[in-house]
Amino acid sequence: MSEYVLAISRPGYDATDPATERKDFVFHSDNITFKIAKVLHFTSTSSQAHGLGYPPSFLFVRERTTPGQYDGGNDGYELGGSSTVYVDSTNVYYNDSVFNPRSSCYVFVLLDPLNE
Amino acid sequence: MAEIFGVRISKPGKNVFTDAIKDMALDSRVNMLKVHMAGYGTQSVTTAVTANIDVTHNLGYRPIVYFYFEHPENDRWHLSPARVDSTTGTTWDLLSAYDHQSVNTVRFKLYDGGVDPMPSSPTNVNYKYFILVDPQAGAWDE
Repeated sequence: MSEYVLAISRPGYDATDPATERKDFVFHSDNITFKIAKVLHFTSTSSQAHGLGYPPSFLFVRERTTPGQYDGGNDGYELGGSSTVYVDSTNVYYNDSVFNPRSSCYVFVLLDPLNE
Repeated sequence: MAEIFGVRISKPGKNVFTDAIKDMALDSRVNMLKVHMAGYGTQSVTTAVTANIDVTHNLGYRPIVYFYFEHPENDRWHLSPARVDSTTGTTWDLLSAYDHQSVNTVRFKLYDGGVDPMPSSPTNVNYKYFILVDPQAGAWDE
């Protein structure tokens, strides 16, 4: 633990109590938080430049063909699903599911690099 | 418990006193994902053999985890669980999944055993993981 920290506990928990578990903090400067560089929207299989110069970590949600319904992550292997979102140092790639197409996909590009 | 104290930081252009939680950069009334540990490495993967990467975090519960791996054929990174195959621009398959072996250990898996095996076995695969402080279930439920 660092000599000095910025720590914010959740309501009802004491940030200065050493017994307070880290999961009961909203924020603790000893733990990084994901920082969103940008959110990219895809409506078909394609790629978009992210502009970071390194492969960034990312999360994504996909919009189902039923409007307003979303799911996260790739299709299961048993469904024949392949990886749908991937990155390199230049681009974010969206590969819409062949077996279970979605209307669109939102990719949260994070600042945290994957190659270090 | 009635909230007496709190910390809020609003987004630019938003009012910290009157606007909604979604307009805050930080609000101590709601949890934020926090990284407990992260790791980058290279794993040798042999065709038809599951390559396991066991990471001990000692949190005492099953945390949210994110595992990424780089297909060496085109240097593109994927988020596990995932199957990388010809539809994603590679000539050989690479699969990944993970499971919690216990409340203190998570196992990340890489596997090449699909229809299209790697041309040269074994092959090194780069990976990156994030293990969060936040439990995958039960966080802030009570």
